[in-house]
Amino acid sequence: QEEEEQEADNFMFEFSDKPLLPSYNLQVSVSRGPCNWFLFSDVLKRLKLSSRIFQARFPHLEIATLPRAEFQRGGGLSQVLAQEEVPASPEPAGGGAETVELVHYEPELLQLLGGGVEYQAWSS
Amino acid sequence: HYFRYDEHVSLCLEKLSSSKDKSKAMLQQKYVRCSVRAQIRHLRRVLCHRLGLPLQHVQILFDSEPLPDHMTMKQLWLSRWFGK
Repeated sequence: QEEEEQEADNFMFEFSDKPLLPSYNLQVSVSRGPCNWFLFSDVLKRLKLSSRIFQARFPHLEIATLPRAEFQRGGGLSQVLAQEEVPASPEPAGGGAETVELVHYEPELLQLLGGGVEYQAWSS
Repeated sequence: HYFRYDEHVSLCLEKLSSSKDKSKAMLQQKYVRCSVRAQIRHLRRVLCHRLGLPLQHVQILFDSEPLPDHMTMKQLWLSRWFGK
């Protein structure tokens, strides 16, 4: 627990030999500040797992659902995300899923995705 | 600070010189993601650590120009990549 507290104060660097899945800085509820998320569908595609198997194997990894419009608005507010990186709604309005599923960005998930994680203290 | 809640930037690092020594780690994992508040000096230290090199042997360049240690990823992004 203490280690986790310390890591929060350090910069985390994620390293990978493959292009990184996009991550999104989003506020998923009013009671919680913005934090980083992957699109669940991106993660499942990269891991070649079904949603059911993923959730059975990694029940502690947090999954959240956000209205699609809210997701696009959040992504659109980002200064460092190019507009074309914000996924457009693949479904026509009114039909299909009106929500997107997200999975919380955390070191354990990065390792599952084949990346390495390294920390660097701010003051160093 | 709570940098873990920050927005991220993704970088792709390419080694400049052609010498092949000790560069394996970097070439294998050249995709990097970090907070927009991380500075060039943090990235340098992480790379040195990974490559097992002393700090003065690693420089971060953009368009063959060394980047200042205190520049943040956000400043770098806004000044060199904005809208790209």
